Amino acid sequence: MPMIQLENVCKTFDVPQQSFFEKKKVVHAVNGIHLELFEGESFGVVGESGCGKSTTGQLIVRLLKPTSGSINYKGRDIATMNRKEMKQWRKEVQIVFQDPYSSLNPRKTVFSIVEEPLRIHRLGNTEQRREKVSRVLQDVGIDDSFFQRYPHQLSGGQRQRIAIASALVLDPSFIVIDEGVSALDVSVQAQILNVLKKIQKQYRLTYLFISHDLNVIQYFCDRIAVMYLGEIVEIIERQNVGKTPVHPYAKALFSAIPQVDQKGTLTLLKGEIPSPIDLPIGCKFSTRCPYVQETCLHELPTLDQLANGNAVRCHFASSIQKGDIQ
Amino acid sequence: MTQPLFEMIDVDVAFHLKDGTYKALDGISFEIQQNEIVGIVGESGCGKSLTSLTMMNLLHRSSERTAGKMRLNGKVLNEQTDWHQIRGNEMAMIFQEPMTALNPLMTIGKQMTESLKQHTNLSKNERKEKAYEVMREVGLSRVETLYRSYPHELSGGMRQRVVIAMALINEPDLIIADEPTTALDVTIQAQILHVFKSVMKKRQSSLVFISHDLGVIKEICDRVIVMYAGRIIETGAVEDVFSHPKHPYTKGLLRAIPTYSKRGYPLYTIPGTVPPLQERKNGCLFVDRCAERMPQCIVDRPFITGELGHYASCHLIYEEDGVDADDSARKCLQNI
Repeated sequence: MPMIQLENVCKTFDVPQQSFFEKKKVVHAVNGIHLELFEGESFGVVGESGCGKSTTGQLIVRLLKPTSGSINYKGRDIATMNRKEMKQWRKEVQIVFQDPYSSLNPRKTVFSIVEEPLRIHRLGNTEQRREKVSRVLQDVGIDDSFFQRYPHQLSGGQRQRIAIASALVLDPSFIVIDEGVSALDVSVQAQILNVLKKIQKQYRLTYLFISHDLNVIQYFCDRIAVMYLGEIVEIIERQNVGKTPVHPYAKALFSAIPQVDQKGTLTLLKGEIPSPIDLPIGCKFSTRCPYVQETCLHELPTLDQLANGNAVRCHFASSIQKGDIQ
Repeated sequence: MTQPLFEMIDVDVAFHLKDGTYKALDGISFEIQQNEIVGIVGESGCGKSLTSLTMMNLLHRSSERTAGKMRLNGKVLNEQTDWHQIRGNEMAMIFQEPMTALNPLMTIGKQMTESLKQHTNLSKNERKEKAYEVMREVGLSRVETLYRSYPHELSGGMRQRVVIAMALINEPDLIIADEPTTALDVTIQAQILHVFKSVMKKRQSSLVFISHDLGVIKEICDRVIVMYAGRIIETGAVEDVFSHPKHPYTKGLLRAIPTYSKRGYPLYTIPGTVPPLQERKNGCLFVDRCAERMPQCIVDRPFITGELGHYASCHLIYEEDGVDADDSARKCLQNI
């Protein structure tokens, strides 16, 4: 059974009306997502800004409520949970944000930031909490001498370790990492990625790893979903990570990563992402696709599984894969 | 040897802070040839942006160039130089944030032609024509409409193209681009890098490209300068530096980049952090984090040395090559 299951999840945001008579507009942030996450894996979500990857993460931890569709956690719909169940569930599911400069309270010490979740859930007495905090901080590579420091006294990498520790202190089983290493320098980024790998083993964690950095995603994740305009266009299965994806957008995206150790062939895309307010009819990528055909302009393709295991949302996926269309 | 387009010789920049004066750039020397794309790479706080600001004489009042010389086309640049004549005309700069680099209250056309107005005698219509031409060159379409638009009507990628067009419009010899693609998505970044490459080739002008992203530097640059804690620690042709890094810091950086091929293995990490401004001593600044440190690294500052255009400042290199340190330093200084 999948640990987390998203069924046809949609999220729209209202755009403020300019005048009273104006037609109401909505932003389609996430548009009918189906997703299954299994225990113990690192699932990557990648895409460009505005593709809905962060919204997806926030929907899963219920920082946002979906407009339609359901999200199940271990077979249980999280929308129908009562208060008590919700509180228990909140302990198991955590999120780490991108910017360690704004996600930590500047007026609290490291100790009280990490201890706070324990206090909220009324776990342990003072002594036990202190011990737990110290152990978790040690696991992320921060020693006890940092207990009484404030976030402004720490470097970016140390702050991100604190943010991870405060997610970890409740012994969760699932963590959403929303651009958790994007704001860091390469050498610090490597340290944090190593910490995340280490604690994943130690605490048996499942990750939803959201990033726009394909190098990081390909290094870190077991399966990868590529998003475009609120839809998943391709799910890359374990055995295909590192190979060229099939969907024309995913292909262009992966070819655009600047590589240090090799030189690939670059597919330059025309134009830019259309506005999520007026979505193209038919395939969302049809306005920029190099393979675009008549059908693509009217019909929305479905996310279908190919022979290699990947699920791809494209009318011509199999012919592109075979190389029939140039 | 032909005269380099731009030279920076032994430049120091100091910050005047409350508790004293500290060197943020320490002995920066490099040159940029005609028709060359040079990358400056390093982690945050290493002084790459400060170097670019120094080149344009745009330093904040709290900082000051305390030593060294700069030359553009053989002409010495100092306090007496008419910088208004140079900025936007001979050297132009592109900043990271395309939103803040543009004035939200002025139309694109007006901003673009501002520097033509300042530096040339073209008529209004000629300026407009020139702006259209440059905008098409950087891959913008519907230029007539764009000319009358305001920055908020444009997407991030278009804004960055406009900023590039603005820098190009006066046909400067040297363009300095400070993290020009960092705020953009990868597919848009690929487009912009393509624009840079083709325009620079066509115009035969030079570009200094500052980035923290080693992949981007590899993609676009001919030569790269690696900076660490306000010093240049390695420089050379991109292929040389990336495939045979000499300095332990460069080696560490390259090993720390996550890629698919490193899956399943822990990434290499450089222990410790960059020494803060107040604690920079005379020896090698990387010494506390270096796995290959030797006793002399703590006291002696390594000179930049090497051959065939690939130089690094590390005591290990003298050892390996068996060169006499003083002799090689002298040779290097002569080269500069």
